[in-house]
Amino acid sequence: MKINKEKIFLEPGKDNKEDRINFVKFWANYVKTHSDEDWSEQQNIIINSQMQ
Amino acid sequence: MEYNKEKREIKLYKKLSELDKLVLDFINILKKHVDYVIISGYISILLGRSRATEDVDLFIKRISFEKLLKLYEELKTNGFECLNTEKPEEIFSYLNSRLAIRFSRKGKPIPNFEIKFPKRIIDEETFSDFIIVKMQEGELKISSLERQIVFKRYYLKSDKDIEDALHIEEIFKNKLDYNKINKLKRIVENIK
Repeated sequence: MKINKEKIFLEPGKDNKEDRINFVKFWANYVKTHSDEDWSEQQNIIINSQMQ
Repeated sequence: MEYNKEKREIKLYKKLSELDKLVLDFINILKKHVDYVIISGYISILLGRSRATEDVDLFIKRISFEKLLKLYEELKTNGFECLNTEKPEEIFSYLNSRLAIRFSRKGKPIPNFEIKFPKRIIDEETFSDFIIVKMQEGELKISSLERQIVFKRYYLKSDKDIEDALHIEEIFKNKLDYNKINKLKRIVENIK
């Protein structure tokens, strides 16, 4: 992850696997730095779409 | 999200997904009849991982046929069905044969609950190495974070499992017991 002042940027991976790993770290950082209400609202889009 | 390591407790203030609501509905019935611990992928999802799942895995303690029958009847009354059989005797037999059984909402096989008795000592230990996740709408008992990481990263090892482990490692980086992780790692590496 690249940190530019307060904003964190997702580092593109060299291949699909590395890209996915980078995104897992990026998202985990988002979860850590935002309220549960915020991240869960986004997460629910993925989960709830599976259950409709 | 607040993790109190000493109290073995995580407080979550998330907006529940439809999956979380289903899990709470199921567990609220299950826990009246038998001790349980949620294991595997749903733990990472509950704690924020951005993926869906087709099943929620859990261990239940060994129970008598009579207790299982009461559990089965209450699940059935509340709209759940067993995907493996309609006969409680067969459910009991499967469980005792170290096989997993699956329950879901009637007519909706996905997502489902994969239930099994613990097979090995390390599985039995999950019942004394757990965390309670407290949400406004209810509580869930999950296996410890260290145990979850070790099984995902060093036993199951698929890309998805390694990503699940990584998510927990990143979220709880400074609160994990790395001695415990190393100890459990040595045990799971010897599982055949």
